[in-house]
Amino acid sequence: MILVEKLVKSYHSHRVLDGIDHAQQRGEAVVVIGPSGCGKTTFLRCLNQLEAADAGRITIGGITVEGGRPPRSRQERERHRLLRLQAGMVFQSFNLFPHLSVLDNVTTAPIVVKRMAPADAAARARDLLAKVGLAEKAAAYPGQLSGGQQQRVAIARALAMEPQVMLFDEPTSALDPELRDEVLRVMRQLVEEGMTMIVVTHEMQFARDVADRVLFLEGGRVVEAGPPAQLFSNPANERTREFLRRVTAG
Amino acid sequence: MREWPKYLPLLLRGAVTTVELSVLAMGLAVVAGLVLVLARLYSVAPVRWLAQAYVEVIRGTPLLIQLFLIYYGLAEIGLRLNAFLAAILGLGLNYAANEAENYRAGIQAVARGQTEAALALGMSQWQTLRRVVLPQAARVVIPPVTNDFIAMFKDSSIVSVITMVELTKVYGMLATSTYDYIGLGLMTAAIYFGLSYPASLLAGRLERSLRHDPR
Repeated sequence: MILVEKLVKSYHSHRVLDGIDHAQQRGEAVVVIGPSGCGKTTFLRCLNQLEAADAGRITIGGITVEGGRPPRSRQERERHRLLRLQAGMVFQSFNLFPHLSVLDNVTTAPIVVKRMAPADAAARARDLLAKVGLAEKAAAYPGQLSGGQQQRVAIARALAMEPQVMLFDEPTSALDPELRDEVLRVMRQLVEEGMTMIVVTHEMQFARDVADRVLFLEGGRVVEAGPPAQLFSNPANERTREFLRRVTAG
Repeated sequence: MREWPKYLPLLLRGAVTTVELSVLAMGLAVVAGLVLVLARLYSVAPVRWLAQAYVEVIRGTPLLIQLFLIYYGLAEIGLRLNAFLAAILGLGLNYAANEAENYRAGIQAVARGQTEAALALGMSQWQTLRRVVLPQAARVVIPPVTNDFIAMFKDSSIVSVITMVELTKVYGMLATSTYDYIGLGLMTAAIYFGLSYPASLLAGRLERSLRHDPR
C-alpha cells in the first residue's frame, strides 16, 4: 500500500530526512515517534507532496512519484495530485476553513475535486460527521467549536475524499489534555475499521495500544521499527532506549 | 445665500458625474487590481515582473501626469478618447495598482496552513485560491478598498484638468461667477459627505456580514 524508498530531504545543508525506507501493508497502523526535529513531520509532508523530496521514491496505492525535481509536464503534475488524493492529511493546527460551515468544510473538496453532486456530498458529510460524533454541528462555523471538535471535523473532512491512507501530523499536540481523548477515540475507531494510517505523535499510550508497528526516527533515519510491545518494552537500540526513558520520565 | 436653490440642481448634476466616474473607475480598479495581484503572485516570471513593474510605476508617478498622458498624449498618437472614458481609465488604472497592493496584503494574511489543507484535499492551485484563499482575503481587504473608494470620490475632482465637469468643477465655476465661495463650498462639501458617508456605513455592514467567526 505504501512504499517509501531512500527518501532524502534537506533544508539548506541540514539533512532532515537521510534515506528513509518504509513499507506498509493495507490496513496497517504505523505510529512514528522520535525527538523533535527528527524529521517525522517532514516525512509525512513529503508523503503527500506538501514538501518535495530531494531524492527517493514514494508509492502510495500504486501511484509513484520520484523525488529530486519539480513536476515539469502536465502528466507529472497530475501524478502528484493523484498521489495526494491517495492520502488524507490531518494537521496539528486543524486548518479548518474558517469562512465555511462545518458541513461545507467537509463537502467542498468532494464537490470541486471529485465533482460529486452537492446533495450526495452533503449526505456523505453528515454520515461522516455522525461518525466523529458531531452530527449536530453541521451548521456551526469552526470558530464556534472547541479544538477537539475542530480536529474531529478535520478528520471527517479528510475522510470525505475517501483516501487509501490517512496521515496524522501530531493531531493532539495543539489540544488541551482533556480534549485529546475524543480525537484519539475517533482515530482508534479508524484503526479498528482497518484504515491504513501513519500517525506522528507524542501519545505513547496510543502507540502502545493501537499501533501495529512503531517507527523510531532520529536524525532523519529510522533507527528502530517493530511492534509496540517489543519496541517499548525491549528496545534493541540504545538511542531508542534513551528516548523512551526521557519521554516516560517526563 | 438666497440664491442656493438656484445653484443646487447644477451642483447635483455635477455630483451625478462624480458618482458615475467614481463607481465606474472603482469597478475597473477592483477587477484590474485582481488581475494584477494574480499575475504578481501566481504567474510565470515575465508576467510577474510586468505586473510588479506596473504597480511600482503607477504608484511612483502623479495621477495628474497619468491623466494628461491618457487624454492628451494618446490623442497625439491618434487615439482620441472622450474625456469621460479617459477619466475612468486614468482613475481606474491608477487605483488598480493600489487595489493590487491591498489584495496582496489580504492574500498574504491568510495562514499558510489554509493553502496546505486545501492542497492536501486534492484541490488545484486555482481551486485553492478561489475556494479558500480569496474568500478569506476578501474580509481583510474590504476596509482598505472602501477607504480607497471614498478617497476616489474626492480624488475624482482632479479629472477637471482633462475638461471633465464634475462636482468640484461645477463649484469652481459657480463660485467664480457668484463670489459665494463659502456658501457654495459648504453645499458642495455636504454633497460629497452625503455620498461618501453612506458608502462607509455600507462597507461596515458588509464587513460584519462576511465575518462568521464569533471571535
